Order: sequence, then structure tokens, then C-alpha cells
Amino acid sequence: MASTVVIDKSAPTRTVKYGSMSRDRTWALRWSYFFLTLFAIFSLVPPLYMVITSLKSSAEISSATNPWWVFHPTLANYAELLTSNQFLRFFWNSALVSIFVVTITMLISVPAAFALARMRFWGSATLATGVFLTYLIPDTLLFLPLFKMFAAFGDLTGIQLINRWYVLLIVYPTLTVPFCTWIMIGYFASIPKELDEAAIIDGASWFQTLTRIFIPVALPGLIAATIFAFTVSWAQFLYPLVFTTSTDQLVLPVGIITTLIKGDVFNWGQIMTGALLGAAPPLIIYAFLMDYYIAGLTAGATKG
Amino acid sequence: MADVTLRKVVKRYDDVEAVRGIDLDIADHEFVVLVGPSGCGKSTTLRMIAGLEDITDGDIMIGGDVVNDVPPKDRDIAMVFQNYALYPHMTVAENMSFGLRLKRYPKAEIKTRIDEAARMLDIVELVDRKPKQLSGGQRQRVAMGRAIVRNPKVFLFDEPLSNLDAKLRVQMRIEIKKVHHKVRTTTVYVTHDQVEAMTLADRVVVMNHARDLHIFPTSSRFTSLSISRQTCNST
Repeated sequence: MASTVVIDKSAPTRTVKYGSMSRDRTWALRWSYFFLTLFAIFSLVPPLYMVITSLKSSAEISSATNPWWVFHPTLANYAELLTSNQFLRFFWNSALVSIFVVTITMLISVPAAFALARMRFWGSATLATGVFLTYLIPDTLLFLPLFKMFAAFGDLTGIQLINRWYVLLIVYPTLTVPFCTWIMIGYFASIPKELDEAAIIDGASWFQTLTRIFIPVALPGLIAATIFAFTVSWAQFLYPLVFTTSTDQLVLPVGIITTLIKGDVFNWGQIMTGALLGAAPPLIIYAFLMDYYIAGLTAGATKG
Repeated sequence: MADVTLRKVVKRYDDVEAVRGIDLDIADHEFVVLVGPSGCGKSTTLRMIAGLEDITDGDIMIGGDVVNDVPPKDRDIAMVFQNYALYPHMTVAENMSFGLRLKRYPKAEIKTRIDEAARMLDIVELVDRKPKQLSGGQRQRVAMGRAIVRNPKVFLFDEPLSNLDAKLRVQMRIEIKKVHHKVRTTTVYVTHDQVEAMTLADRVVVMNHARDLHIFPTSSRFTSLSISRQTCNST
């Protein structure tokens, strides 16, 4: 019996997509550019508006002209703020508070993270979770009990903390320490265990292992934590608003609001200028530390 | 240099007994290889000698002294890890000298030792590089260099060649053997590669992986094979 090959022409056919991979990729790129542009517009319009407003005089701001255009650009707002002792005082207070808070935070959270990540002791895992949980309690919930505590402390000891800029050095770490500890635990945990074992065999103490091996190796993580602590303490609004009231004790975000808004008169030009000047230090820090932030220092530590 | 003695050494993790009463005598200058399948406790044994794991029961002696409660840094041992464990932010020379610098050796002495070890391992031109600029084989040489410069009583190797390709592994085996011939330091070497064990060792210790450890009396878990040097060199 002769066999015949029957070609079933009605069989379902598959449409062949030539270069489908590159087509998918093109679409993925288009979508990502679309959303990136959208996001860029969304996040850049407010600062742009701030720049525009900061270059206007109060008269121009209140006149009914196009708000997106500066007809008579002036640096008067900048000149006024940068020569105002009060504004410079806010700036100084903010810088002082932030530098101290970053230092305190790092001094606490780096050793804490090292201990929790590496020195296995009873309850260390629970404690690590506990540290993170404390971060989840919002400051809006904490400021009242904290205020009462400082008031009671003042009554008991006679040491007045409320309305002193340094009270913020005690309060801010409640926000920064848990989160920075958590970030650093993650970084330290990613360092191969053999690295500290090698250091211990080489004769390093725990402290030397931390300072000479872990901190240099986890430098990107350390910088990330530092940036976070700085940003939080620089931009914190609620705590300074509650705990400080005299103008010589105020930090920048609260200072701008309390001194440049007089009753229902908003000095928009100076408010925007102050906000822009206030946003500059974090921006500069980000710009300088970005390379470190991204660099992976662990390359070459172990196999691979 | 020193001999290493294990007397009824036990390691227990909660309910699991990882090592059940090991007795082992390693003579001074000897190269002993612990070989066995994964999970037989050979690495744990090595780590107990290093002091990285506490022992549950028994005694470990290095040079006649019981070191059960002696921290790793005071045991005068050096360890080479499977994944090299080089300090990534330090150059090769700094990696090798880290232990000596911690012990505040004079700079000249450190330099002499590094030069000597680098020559022995053929890494003289690499001493200023960082680990990430090195190949796998070169990294492992540096790790060995770090052990050699310390001039310890005992070398401990934890599967040092497992991350290398087959060709390099053969080459490094010869290197390790050469180094041992030169420095004559007592060496305990862990591997699961039988060929590696046979080619390197003065004595091979086969650790059996017992499914039910209770069946075996402690002594029967060990089979000691003495391999003559000739056999070793001919393979």
C-alpha cells in the first residue's frame, strides 16, 4: 500500500513574528520613556514654579499676569534672605542639628547593626525586627508623649529641654536610628561570613572587624544611611514645630513658615526662595555622593 | 609548627549531631586531608580546629595545649576559605599583611614576609592590585599568601580549589603541595574530591556519612589510609 503524504492545508498556522524580541524591546522602551517623562514633569514642575516665583517681586506675584513667566526678574528675594540674620540663624540651626543628628545616628546604628547582623546572641533576630517596628510608629503619634516626657523631665531636674534647638538631637534619632540600623543590617548581612571569619583568624577584635573590614566594605550602604539621616533631619517639620518656638531656636523649615507668613499675609517670593535655598544642601550632597552610593565595593571579595 | 590532636570531639546543633566523637592525631609537619561527602562533618571539624565553631564535647589540642576555649586569633592558625574571603578594599599586599599589622609587626619584617610569600606563590607583580582585578586562581594564591605570611602553627584549608576550573585545580594542587614541601607547616585540608585528597595528602582521613549515626561506634566512623609519598607523587 503506497503511503501518501497528506498536507493538511487547513491546519492552524502560526504567524511568524520576525524580530519580535526587538519589537517588544522597542515597546518597553517607549513605555518606560513615556512614564519617565510623566514622572519627570510631575516632580520637576513644583521646583520650577518655585524658581519662577522666587525671581518675582511681591507686586508681580499678586498681579494677574501669567504665573509661569517672569516679566521683571529680580534677585531681591535672595538678597534679602541671604542678608537676613534671622534666616541665616535658621540655616545655621538646621546645619548644626543635621550634622549632630547624622553623627549620633551613625555612632549608634552602625555598631547596633553590626551586633545584630553578625554577633549572634540570644534574641538578636527578634531585636532586629523590633528595631524596625519602632520605625513604623509615626511621629504624629509620638510628639505628644515625647513633649510630656520632656516637660516632666524639666519639672523633675530643672533642665529645660523644650524650646532649645538641642532637644531635636534627642528627638530626631527616634526616626533615623531605627531605619539606618535596618539599612545597615541589610548591608552587613550581605557581606560574606568568611570575611569576618578571616578577620577574626587574622587576629582582629570585633571592633577592628567593624572598623577595618565592615565599614569600608559597606561604604555604599553607610553613605545611603547617612544621606537618609541627613534628609530626615534637614526636612523634619513636625518635631521642630512642636518643640521649638523662639525664633533663635528654630530650624529652617519651621523658621520659613513662622516668620515669612504674617497672619494671613504670605510673602510668597521669600517663602519660595527660602524653600529653594533650604532644598539646596541635600541636592548638593546627593550630587556628590551619588557615585559612592552606586558603587559596589564588595566586587572581588569572594568568588565570581 | 605543631601537632593537632582531637579527642572525642563532638559537635551538636540542638538535636542534630554533626560530629560524633572524633579521635584524630595529626603529626607535626603532616599534610592530612579530610575527605567525605557533603554533610559528613568535615568542614565542621575544620572549623572547630580553627575555633570558628565551639565544640560541644571532647578536647582539641594544638601543640599539646588544649585550645577548646581559646579564641581563633590566639590559636596561631591560618585558614584558606573556599571563596577566598579576601578583603575587597585592600590591595594584595594589604590583604596579606592585615594579620601582621594587627599584631604590630615591624614594617620591614612585614615587607620581607610579603616578598617571600609573593615569590613563593608567583604573585610578585600582583601585590599592588585589588582582589577584583585578579582571576580566581590568583585570588586563591593571595588567600594562601595571607596564610603563609603569618607563619602559623597549622594551615587549615576549607575546600580551597572547589571554585576553580578543572585545569587550574590540578595546577593549584601542585602549588599547594610545593608550598607545603617548602614551609612544612602542619596542614589540615578539607575536600570532597577524592583525587585531590589522594594527590595532596600524607594521610587521608575518610569521614563516612552515616545515615543513622547510632549504628556506628565512634571509632568505626573513621578509616585512616596511609599513602606513601611515592603513590602520592605518581598520581
